[in-house]
Amino acid sequence: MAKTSGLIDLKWRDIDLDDTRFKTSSTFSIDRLAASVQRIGLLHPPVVTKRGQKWILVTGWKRAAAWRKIGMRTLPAAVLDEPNDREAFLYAVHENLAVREFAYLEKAEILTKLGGLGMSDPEIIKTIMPMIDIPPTKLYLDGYRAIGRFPPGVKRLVLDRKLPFSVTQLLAGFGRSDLEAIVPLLLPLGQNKQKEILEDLRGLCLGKNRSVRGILRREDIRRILRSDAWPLLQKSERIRRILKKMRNPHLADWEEDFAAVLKKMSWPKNIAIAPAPYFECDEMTVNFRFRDAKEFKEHAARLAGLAAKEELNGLWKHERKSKKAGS
Amino acid sequence: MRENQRKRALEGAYIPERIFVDAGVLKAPLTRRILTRLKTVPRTVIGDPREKVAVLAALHGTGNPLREGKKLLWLAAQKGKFVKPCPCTPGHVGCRYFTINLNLQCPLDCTYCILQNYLVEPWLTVFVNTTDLWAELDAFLGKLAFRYLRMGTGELGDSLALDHITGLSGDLISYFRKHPNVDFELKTKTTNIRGLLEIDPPRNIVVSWSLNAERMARDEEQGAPSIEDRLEAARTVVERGFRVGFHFDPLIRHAGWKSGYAAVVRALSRTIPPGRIAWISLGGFRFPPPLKKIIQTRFPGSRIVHGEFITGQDGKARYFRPLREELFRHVATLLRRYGGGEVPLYLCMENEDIWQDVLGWKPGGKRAVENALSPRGWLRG
Repeated sequence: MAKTSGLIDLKWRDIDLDDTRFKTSSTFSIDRLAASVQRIGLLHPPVVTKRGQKWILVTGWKRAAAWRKIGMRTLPAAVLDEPNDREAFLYAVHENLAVREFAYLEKAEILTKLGGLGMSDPEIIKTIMPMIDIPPTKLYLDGYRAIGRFPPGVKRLVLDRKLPFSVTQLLAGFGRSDLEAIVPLLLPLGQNKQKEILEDLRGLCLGKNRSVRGILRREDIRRILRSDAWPLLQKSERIRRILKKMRNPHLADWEEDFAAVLKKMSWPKNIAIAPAPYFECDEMTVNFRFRDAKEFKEHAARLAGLAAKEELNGLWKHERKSKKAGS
Repeated sequence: MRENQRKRALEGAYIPERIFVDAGVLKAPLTRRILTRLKTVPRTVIGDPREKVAVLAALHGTGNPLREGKKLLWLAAQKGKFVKPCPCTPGHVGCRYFTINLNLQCPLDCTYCILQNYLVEPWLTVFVNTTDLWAELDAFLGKLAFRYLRMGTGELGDSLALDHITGLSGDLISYFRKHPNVDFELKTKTTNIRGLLEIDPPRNIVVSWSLNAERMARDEEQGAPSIEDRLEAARTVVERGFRVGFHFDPLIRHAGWKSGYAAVVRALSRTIPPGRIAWISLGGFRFPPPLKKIIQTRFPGSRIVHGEFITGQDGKARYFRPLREELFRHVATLLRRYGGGEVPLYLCMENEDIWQDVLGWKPGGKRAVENALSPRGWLRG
């Protein structure tokens, strides 16, 4: 493993801060760190290595940014004399690992970069993944790499808004341009609804050959997105419901038919009626509360009145509905 | 006998790349038979269970343990029961079928295969302690000697895919020849029928094929023969004197599904006389939720999990009811139209209301289904 030697003071112009080949960190806010280094200085100097005429940061990206932010003209840094990029990157991984745990987005970055630096998949699976607490399988490697390919803006949102890994995994199934449209829709929602939207979008794209762009250009969705009448949460909720209906048109049709029959029958609100979940069988449930014999009799009389209505059979009109399903 | 069919039957038959033998079954007669038939395949005797864990870990390291596992054949002892009631699924109509679990996993690689989610070990296992099997079957059938029963292999692996290696179909048929109260079924998608053709067929043996629309067979049943070849194999065993069965399971909604299933039913009616068909089952595509991710990962080009699914009473994803009923009704109508009106027809893992809607009767329990499938009765509808 490579080692550092000696400290040097580098002028900012001698450091290529755009070269992020060894960067593993993905935190974007450095305000607190800047306040800290202003007070006590740099306890652990960043590590740099030379490529061509320029120095490149190997570790300490946030420290360097904080140091620069407080107006320091030079950066004290330890020199890593390691010409091999892969070894230098592994140095960065190990150094970080010694002081903290990686977030999953950083793990994704590490696995993606190691592949780019020529480390074979079996080697990554065997040596790197257990080290950063990822199950050592190709399945997980591919999953993390997909996340590593997110555009920077999406990565930032994922990190800042702390999107859970399970949601991010679903996001990995979408193209880069789609991600930028989808992620803002997810942010106001809870994890389950985020997953629901992603599953529905994916189902519509793959099952019905639609594109995310095409779906989001639907007039009803565009109207919601353009509207100033609703906060973001309500917009996301409304869009979620539209997607659900698009994904399950026959179920939506049955639910609407069922509700329409109840309306036609003037079904009383204090007698609850529910079909079997998803209409899987013909059984239904009726539920009402009563405090005494009088209330019970009132409900029973209402039910008898409902039973006499011709529309009642409409609740089980499977023949008609099944024929509709064939479209 | 069709010589071409016979010849084709062994083309592409499965040969493992390596055999593992649990030390405890090394001397079992079936182990010897298999090792003799696979003389050139490298083998390893496993004495320490930790070696099994190491093989499993190595397979998981490949990124596709299910695909790589299919290259390995493991000979082991069945330590539990061989015979189990078919579990069906909670809240649905069963058919009182009994399964005999002689092997686990399958060399075919069907997109929708439940075994991808159900079994821990990705390799193919053959349970070779057949002495225990016969003893268990004797005890089981001894108590039920006067009752009609349906039993079969093929729940946790294809019944015939390894038959050229194991020769088990011959052993099983010899056994069940002496138990005429049992309709014994071998369920397959393969054309691996050479072993069967050497047997004088008893009346109570049913050889069954899974059928699907040709496009589904081609796109979603990797490694399985075409529908035409399956039907040709069925015709060959019928000519040999066996009864046959067919399972349209899973029926999958896809572009052109109506004409796709119509073509299969037409081909079936042209190939097999209805009087030789013991039963036909219909089952809609259904899957436990974790299988969806497995399918998406292993078969990213497949679209079958993206239909209009709901969560059924048993927790499995299924097509929304009218979509399932439409599938069943379509195939059932075709079967009747093309001459299968008297062939016993049943639904696999559906509730009574769906039986009523599709087949026109409610069985009222699995005994009624069993009775309807027995040689004396058939379903009306």
